[in-house]
Amino acid sequence: MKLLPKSSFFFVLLLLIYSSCKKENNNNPKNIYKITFYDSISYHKSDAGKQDSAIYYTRKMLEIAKDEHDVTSEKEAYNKLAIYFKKNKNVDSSFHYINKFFALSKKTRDTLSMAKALYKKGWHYRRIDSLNLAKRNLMDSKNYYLQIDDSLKVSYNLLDIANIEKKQGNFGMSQFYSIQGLKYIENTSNARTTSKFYYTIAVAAKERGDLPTAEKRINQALALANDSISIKTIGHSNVISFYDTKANILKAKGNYTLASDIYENLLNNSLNLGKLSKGARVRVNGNLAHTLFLKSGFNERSDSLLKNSLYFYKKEDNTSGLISINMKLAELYSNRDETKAVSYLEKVIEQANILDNKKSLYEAYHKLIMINNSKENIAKYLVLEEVVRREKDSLESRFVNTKFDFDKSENERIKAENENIILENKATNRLVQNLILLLILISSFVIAYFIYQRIKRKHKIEKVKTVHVTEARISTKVHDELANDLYELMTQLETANPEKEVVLDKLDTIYNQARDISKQIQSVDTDKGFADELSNLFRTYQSNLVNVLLKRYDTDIWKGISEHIKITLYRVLQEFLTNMKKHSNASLVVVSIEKQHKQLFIQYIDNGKGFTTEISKNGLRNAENRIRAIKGKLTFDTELSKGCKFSINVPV
Amino acid sequence: MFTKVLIAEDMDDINTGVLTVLSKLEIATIDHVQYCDDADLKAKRARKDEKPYELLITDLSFVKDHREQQLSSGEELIVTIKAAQPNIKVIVYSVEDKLQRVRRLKNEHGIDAYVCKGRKSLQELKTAIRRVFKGEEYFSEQVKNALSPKSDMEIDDYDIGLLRLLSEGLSQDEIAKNLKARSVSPNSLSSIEKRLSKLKIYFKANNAIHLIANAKDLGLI
Repeated sequence: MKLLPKSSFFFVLLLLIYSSCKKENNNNPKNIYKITFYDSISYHKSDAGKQDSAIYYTRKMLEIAKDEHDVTSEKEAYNKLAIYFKKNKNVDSSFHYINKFFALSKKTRDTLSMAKALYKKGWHYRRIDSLNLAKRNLMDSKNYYLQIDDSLKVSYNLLDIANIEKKQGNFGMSQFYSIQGLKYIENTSNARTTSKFYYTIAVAAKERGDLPTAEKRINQALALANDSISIKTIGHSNVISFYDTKANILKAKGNYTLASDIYENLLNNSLNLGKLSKGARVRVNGNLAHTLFLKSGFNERSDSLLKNSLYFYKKEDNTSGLISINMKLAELYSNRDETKAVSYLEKVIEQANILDNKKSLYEAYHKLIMINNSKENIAKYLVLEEVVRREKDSLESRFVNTKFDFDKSENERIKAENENIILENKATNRLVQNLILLLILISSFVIAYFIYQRIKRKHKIEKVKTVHVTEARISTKVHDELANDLYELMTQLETANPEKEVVLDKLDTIYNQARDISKQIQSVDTDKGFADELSNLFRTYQSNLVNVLLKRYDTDIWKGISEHIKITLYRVLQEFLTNMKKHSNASLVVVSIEKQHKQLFIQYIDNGKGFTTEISKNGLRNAENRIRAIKGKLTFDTELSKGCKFSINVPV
Repeated sequence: MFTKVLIAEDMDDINTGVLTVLSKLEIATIDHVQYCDDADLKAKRARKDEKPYELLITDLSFVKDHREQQLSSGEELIVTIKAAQPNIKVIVYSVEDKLQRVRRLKNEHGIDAYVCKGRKSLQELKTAIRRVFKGEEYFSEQVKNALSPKSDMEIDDYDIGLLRLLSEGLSQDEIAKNLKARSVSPNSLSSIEKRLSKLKIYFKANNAIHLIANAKDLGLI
């Protein structure tokens, strides 16, 4: 309990911080408030039917929104203006603001607003009979709604499109779009839209001659209008149209009694659908009259009904209505009074010519030649038949084309979906492949590392071996050359009493031997100074007793030859010279060095005592081994007291 | 004779030998040290006292031991002392006979004598000191070659060609003509003569016949 005041204090503090932060973010809260204010006031004004003041306040709202760069409010204002202007019957201004609304939505990539705007544009185009433009806008709107998964709006769009197609006479397309739209709405309880879809399908199917479908669909539509509440939802005039269509279908099926019953019911308001509008009444009258005629031939009721309708259409100056009624009158009189029938038909022809309605003309001539088959009429009839047939053909082919286009686009969509699936699979496969590749890479790295380690160890062992060999050689030398001589001297000193000079001479020899051994393992400059190093080697053995001659050669041949080849050659020549000095008593030595066709060719010649091959076996084994190690070849040619000749070939 | 000499040599016995030689030369002050750093310090001290050493006798290699040294070799010592005292005389007394090393010491560091340790080296050292005192140079027999021109004992294809012509019994005149005919130069009589006398020295020959015999023995022709 003690904690309570403390924690509440904190809460207040947090609130204060929060509110202050919020204030900082919106630097002008006054304008935000104004926008909200104008928004609501314009809404209420419009609701109260005062569109002018609603427009006035919305414009104010628009100004502030523009000043504040508040795009959301700006869009809202355009939308509202469009609505209020439409309500105010100023359709052009409304259309103007719709376009602005759309442009801004597109700029801000607001899919929902774009869909809304496009739908409204579609409505406007439809109003001015730009049916194709209207269709395109509605189609775009539908696609945007699809993106945001608003299936109700998608179905609205499709219904409108279906109605436009119906109006254009493309009943197949109309039916197709209706069926499509139905899919989006079927599982909802939106009776109004669903029934309208059924109605549209029914009308389209009837026009295409598919009466069973038409009947089934119109029954579905009427099933939804089964009580007063749902009738109200769907709308009385819509339900009247449903019944009218049902009657028309029955009439087309030849079920005249049922059809005329429905017409009578509509006219009597026995279906509780309210009073018919004048247009609807005239239409139903016409239909009833025609049904009665079809049922029982000429009768007075049909005659009066049709004449009433004729009067009404004349007053309204409704040409297409007049055509329809005159045609029905001509039919009514065809068996009874041919003169009258012909005069009605002539009226039909006259009116159809005004509208350029080829179908009505064709029908009129068709009836005309039944009564009066004059050559003139037959000729006209044949021409019209041709025209109508061609029109029908072109309509059909257009329908087929559109259908085909649709199928094509559908196929493409399916194909695209399949491709997506394939791509996804591919992506998965690629991932797996990458993983495998990575695994292989890692394992090969590991293997390579182990192999490298093994090679390294092998090299190390070899290196150690070489060191051991060298050590053994030096040890032999020290033992054979130094230790033996020293022992000899020691025994001499012990047994005899040699002169000091003799001892000193002997010691000097041993000293020089020791130095020679040291020289043989001294480091050699194998870099740029190698040629100098080599000629110095020869010069070291140059003395009063021996001339070491070097045949001039291009010292550049040493460039690019590997270090161990150079060292090996140096050591071998050094050994030759040491042997020469020690054993051969030579006075002349000639060394030549050449490089030809990637082969180093070195020749050593002296004029000393030479040696037998027996001795050479031991004496030259070392040199031979060295040369073999650099993949070279050592050949020698010697005879006792005739000097010796060594040739070395090394590939480089 | 020199009055003040510094010896840097790490081997006591060798030192004793050197001291024996030097004592016979009537030199007033002979200091010897076993480390290069000590040698440097002594030289510095002497310069400070304005009684600098006149001669430095030094080994090249000093065996490394527990004492940490700034200067680890005779070469470094020579460089350091020569830098502070450019007119000091230097004799190197060493086992080493690598010609490049000797050449570098002579040409870059300006040593006056190089004596190789050996059977007769103490005698040589005495000679060297005397020579250096007179302002001359001294280099032991083994390393003398280091200072002679490089192309000393080189022969080439021209020389072998010459020997071949001579072995074919041609006289010097005929050789000259032959060379001219093949437009090989030099082909003047005097240059041929000069070349042949040089070859006689190279091949240790007393006359032309001896020269050809030696060349034939070697299988050059």
